[in-house]
Formats: sequence, structure tokens, C-alpha cells
Amino acid sequence: MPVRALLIVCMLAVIGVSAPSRAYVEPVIPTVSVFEDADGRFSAADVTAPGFAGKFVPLKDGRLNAGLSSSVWWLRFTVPRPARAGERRVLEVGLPILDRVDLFLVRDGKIAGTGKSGESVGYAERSYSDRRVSFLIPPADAGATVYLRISSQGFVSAQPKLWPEGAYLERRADQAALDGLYYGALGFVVIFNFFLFFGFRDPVFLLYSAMMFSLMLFEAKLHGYLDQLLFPALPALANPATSTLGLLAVAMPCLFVRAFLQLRQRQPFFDKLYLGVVAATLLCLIGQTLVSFGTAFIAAMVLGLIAIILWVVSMLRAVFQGYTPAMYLFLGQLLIAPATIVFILRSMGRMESTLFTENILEFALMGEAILISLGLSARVALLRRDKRAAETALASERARIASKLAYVQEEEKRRISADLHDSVGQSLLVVVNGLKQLAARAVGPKNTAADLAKNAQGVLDDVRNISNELHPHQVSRVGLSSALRDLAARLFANEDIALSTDIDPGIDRLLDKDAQLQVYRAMQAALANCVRHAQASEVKMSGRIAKSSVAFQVSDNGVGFANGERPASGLGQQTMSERMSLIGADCEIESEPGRGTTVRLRIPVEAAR
Amino acid sequence: MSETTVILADDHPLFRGGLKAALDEIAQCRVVGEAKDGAEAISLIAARLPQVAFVDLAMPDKDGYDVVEWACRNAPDTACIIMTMYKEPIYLHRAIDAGAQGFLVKDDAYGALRRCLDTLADGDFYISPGLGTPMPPDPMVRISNQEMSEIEALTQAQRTVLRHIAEYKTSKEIAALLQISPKTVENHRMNIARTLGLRGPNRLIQFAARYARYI
Repeated sequence: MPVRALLIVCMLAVIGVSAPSRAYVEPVIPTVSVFEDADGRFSAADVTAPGFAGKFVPLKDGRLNAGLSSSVWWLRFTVPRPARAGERRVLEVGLPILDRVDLFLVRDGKIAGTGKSGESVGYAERSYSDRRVSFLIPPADAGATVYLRISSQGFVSAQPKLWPEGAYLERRADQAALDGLYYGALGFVVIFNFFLFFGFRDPVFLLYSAMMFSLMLFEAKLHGYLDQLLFPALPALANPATSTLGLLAVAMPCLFVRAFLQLRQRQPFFDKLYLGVVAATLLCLIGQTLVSFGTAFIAAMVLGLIAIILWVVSMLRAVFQGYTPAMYLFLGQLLIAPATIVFILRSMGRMESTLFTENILEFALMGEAILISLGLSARVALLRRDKRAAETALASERARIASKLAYVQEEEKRRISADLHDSVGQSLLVVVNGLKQLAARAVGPKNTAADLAKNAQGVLDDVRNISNELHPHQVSRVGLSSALRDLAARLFANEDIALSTDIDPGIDRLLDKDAQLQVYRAMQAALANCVRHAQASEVKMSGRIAKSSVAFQVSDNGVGFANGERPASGLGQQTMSERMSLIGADCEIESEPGRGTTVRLRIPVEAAR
Repeated sequence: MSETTVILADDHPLFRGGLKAALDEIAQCRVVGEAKDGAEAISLIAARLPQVAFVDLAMPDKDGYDVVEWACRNAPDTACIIMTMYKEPIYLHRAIDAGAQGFLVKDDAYGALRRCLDTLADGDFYISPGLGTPMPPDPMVRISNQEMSEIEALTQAQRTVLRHIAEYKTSKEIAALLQISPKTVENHRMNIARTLGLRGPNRLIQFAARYARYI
């Protein structure tokens, strides 16, 4: 299994290397200065007034990273000249989760234009229809001053970038295609595992499906797709959706991991911790309506952090406990690590920004999803193995019981037969002998004793026949080889069938009593079939010693039957096979219409020769 | 005529009692012991060395064949009769192989005792009437060149007698069939056995039955 996982990882690496890595036109990052309005009391007119400019402080790299902040942040920069004259440009401000961003374009000290964007603005009302926070900058705006008013609950981070519109749209299209691939893959994993749940009835699949679904929705929310596609006209839903999905994205993985790693049985203490985290997220889900969005988001972050620590620790413990499926989880995590390094290097500008490097985390997540799927299949294999082992045990137990039952039955028959023979038979013998002696001494034409002796003899013969039918005593008395020869001679005595027997007397010491009896019974059935059904003119019977087995064969030149079609003697043949399986032997019946029938019995023995 | 000493071995007391009563009626016969299983029969034979032992086939501990085989090796002067309820020829063949001197079917045991003892006294093998079925030809049996040449060395008359022996006929029966004296048949038997190099109880009968189709 680990080999398969390694292959997958290598495959992903190959895909990663060959993925579209064309570099895009780098955006222009203007020189930005910032002003924090902690209470949000300044209006656009206040801020854009020429005297206010002094309150702005320069921002390193043009990047605003305010963390969790409820302040209003003002960014200010001068629109540089376009690289090419007359070029329309797009101003990208930041991630789609910013609540509200207003743009004020100031030219010659006056507000010449405004725009709005952000999560809390419906798609139809946005200045530039885009899931990211962005605005269109016409060529004429070069040289003007742009003021951006950013207010958001939760994290505030922004870095204004100016893209040539063509390049921006190209990149957006590529990103959309890649995201389509990404969400498609995740969606496939979700649906696939959902159906696996129905197939295997193992709740882990359902939990995995739910986990991937919640992660997928959360990510789609963070990237703005959810708003864009599901509720473009209902911006009020944006923040509650983020916190709700964030909390679910914490709870679901917890539920999955504890089921996947079988924590309840293997790590009960960690199981309780996981359940605690899940309970906390549930509380937050209910409580988020009472507290602010920001608080709920912070709670989700903290819980997520705890969950990640729990995940790593419990996973490593499971790996060291030698639980195979945990290995895949571990490999999946290993995949995330280099991706994170790439992500960080790229963010630091130490690595070329390509579609691949920008989406490295998504690739890693896809790889992880695949690895976890493999882990699930390993789990299924483990479950199957257990099930198979149980089934095998059950089958052998059944066989043992059947064998035992057959033995008990045979023993019972032998006992009844012996009782009949020894008590009833012997007593009758005394009677018959006495009557015969009486009859011999009697005088006169009416010999009652002789009649009685005859009747009693008839009863005695019946008893003898029944006894012999119940148990073939000759097998234990004279041995199988002689018993078989005798049996065949008796069965064919009144038939017009040429019988040839070829039985090695050595078999008697190779087969134990039980095997001898079962072989005798099976051969009896086979020979009886020859007499009753085969319409044969020639029957051959043999018993030979082979290298590690004793092989018996009965073949006739009779009518035969089509294989698969059950002849009149079908039941006898099934019993034959069952008898052989009881002593660990094979029974093979070969026949063709018009070509006779051959029955082969093969009883394995130790050191036949 | 001197007395014949007899022991009985049968696990069924009722049948054994009836048999003893029937033997007691025969004047020249004296029952010197009774055994209820094979092991007891063996120690009885060892202790009393009877002339005749009637041994039940199906006995606990050691069965009749075991007793007969033991007696053949250790008490060759005791003639053993296998008594049985089984009428299948296979039991007879096995009894001959074991070295018994007679095969008595229990159905008619009491009435057949006198005749049985007489046959033994003649040095013949006793078989209950109607059971003398020859062994079915066994293709596994291959005669050696030496044995074949020994058979061919026999006179025509000897071969005729041998053929009858293969059908389990007693000397008296053969004599009646060939209209010669039993003494002549006895002589033939001795000569045949010498020619074929056969010694020991039933070797002649076994040989004849085994190679019946070559005689």
C-alpha cells in the first residue's frame, strides 16, 4: 500500500512540474500610505481634504495587514501612469472577504469619482463585477489620487495592485479554470465517498464526504465563489456564511479524524478532546447570532488551531501504533508541508509567481484528498480482511460441525446396526437354531417347527440386511480393498455387465477407518449408479496408490449425462462429494452424453509409498 | 474313536449356551472351555490346547480372525472354525487367508456341528452349505512364471482335483464327483502340495482359489 501512495505522490509532483507555469505580467504596486480611523468618524470629505494628507503614514510594500480590526482603514496613493498609453487597468485591493471597500478618486482636490465593492455589496451594485475586491481604473485617471476606505469585521488585509485589464482577465480566467479543476476534484471526492458510504455502510465515508464538503464550501466562501454563485444579491449572508462554514470546517474534520483513526477504541483520551472541540464549535454556531461576526470568527480560528494540534498528535500516535490507514493521513500532511514552504517563499517574493506556485496549497490539498481516499480504501481492505477471516472461520466451523455431525450420524448408525446384529440377531439365531433342531427331529408330514424355522430365518435375514445397510461391517472386518471387491461382485452378480476390478490391497493400511468407510459408501453409490442408471455394458473399478494419495475410480461406458445437468442420480453424486470433503478428499465426476461416466476419488495420505 | 476337545468363543451367552448344549449331545466331543471375547479365547487356546476352537467372528477386544491368526502361529494343532452371522463370501475368503479350518454360518450352527467336526476329522476345510462361492477373479493377481510352470508340472488328474479345491470342495465331495476314493483324493492333495511347494493350513485352498483361472 505505501508503494501505491508513493506513486501517487510522484504523479502529483509530475503534474505540478508540468502544470501551467507561465509567468504573468507583474502588477504595478503603487506607493501607498495609510490612515487608521479607529472610530470611523471621518467622512470621505474629511479624509480627502488637502490638510488631512499629513495624517497618512507610508505603508511598506503597499501592504496593509491590520489583523483582526474593527477600525476603518484609509489607503491613499497616486495612480501611476500606465505602461502603455490608453490602457484600462484593474485595481485589485485584496481578498474577497473584505466587507466593504469604497473608492474615492480625487483629482484637483475634488472627488471626481467613487466606487464600492466588498462582501457586503451585492454583485449588481459593485463598480466592477468581480468576486475579488477590485475597481476599474480608466486611462484618464492616471495621476489622480485614490482613497480607499476599508472596513471589515474579522481580518483586514489589503495590497492595492494595478493590472492591465487584459492581463488581469487572463489571469482570472486561468484561475477560474484551475479552481474549476480543484473544486471538481474535491466535488468528486465528496460524491464518490458519499456513494461509498451507501456501498460499505461505514459511517467514516459519510463523515469524510461531509468533511470534504465543508472544507470545499469554506474555501469557496473565502475565494468569493460562494457569494458570486449562490447569493450574489444577498450580501447580508456573507459574514454569517463565513463564520458558519468556518466552524463547520473545524467540526467536520474532527468528527472524521476520530472515526477514521478509531480514536474511541485506540486513543480514548484524544477522542474526548475531539468531542470537546466539536461541542465548542456547536456552541459557537448557536452563539454567533448573539455575538459579533468577528468574535465568532476568532472562536473558529482558535478552535481550528486546537483541532490541528490534536490532529497532528493523534495521527502521529496512530502511525506509531502501526495503524495502516493513519499512514496515508500522515503522508497527506507531509504533502502539505512542502506546499506551505512554496506558498511562503512565493508570498515573500522569493519564488516566481505562477499559477502553480500560487495554488500550491490547493494542489497539496487535492493530493491529500487522494491519499486519504487511499487510506479509506486501506481501511476497507482491513475491514474486508477481518470479514474474510471471520467468514473463513465460520466456514471451517461449519465444515467441522458438518463433519462432526456426519461422524455422529455414522457412529449412531454403526451402533444401531451393531445392536440389531448383536442382540436381536443373536437372539434370533438361538431361536432359528433351536427351531431347526426341532424340525430335524420332528416326524410326520406336518412339520410346524420347520415352518416356524423358515419364518424365523426370514426375520433373521431381514435383520441382517437392515444391519448391513446401516453399516457396512465388512469394511472394518476385512478391510476396504476386499470389501470393495466383494461389494462389486455382489452388485454385479445378476447384471449383464463386464466388471473389472483392480484394487491394491495396500490401501487398507494407508487409509484410516473413517476414510475407508466413507470411500466404501461413495464407491457403493458410484457402482449403484452404474447398475441403475448408466445402462453400461462395461464397468471398471480401481483403487491405486499414487505418490501422496490414494486414488479410486469407477468408470462405465454407459449413457452418461451432460455436465451441469443433474441426472436422476444427482443427489447421490452430491452426497459422494460431501463424503469426500468430510475426509479432506476430492471427488470428481466426469461425464458426457453417450460417453459414459467416470467418478474419481482422491484421498490425500502421508507418505503413500 | 478318541474324544475331541473343543473350546467355544462367543460374546453372546445365549448363543454360546445353545452351542454348548448342541456339542454336549455329540458323544465323542468334550467342551473344555468357553470364552466371551477374543483375548479370553487366545489364553484359553494357549492353556488347553484344544483340538478344535469354535470362534465367533465379531467379538470385542480381538475378533475371530485375530484369534485364528494367533492360533495358526502359536497352536498349530488347534483347528479353528470361524462362526459368523455374515454370509458374504468375502468373510469366507478372509477366514481362509487367516488360516481357519472351517467357516460356519451361525444360522444353522447347531445342526451342522456334527458334520463340521467330521469334515475336520477328515482333514478338510468345512464350509456351511451354499457358501462355497469361488473368489471373483482378481485381475491384480499375476501368476509368476515359476508358479505357472509348477502348475504345468501337475498331472491332468491333479489339475482336475485342484480345480475342485478352488471351488472349496472337500475331499469327500471331490471323491464323490470323480468317482474315486477319498483316500485317492487325499493322495492327490499331498502330491499337489508337494509339487507346488505349499505347506501349512489352507495354503492349497488359497493357492487354488487365487490362481483358479490358470489351472
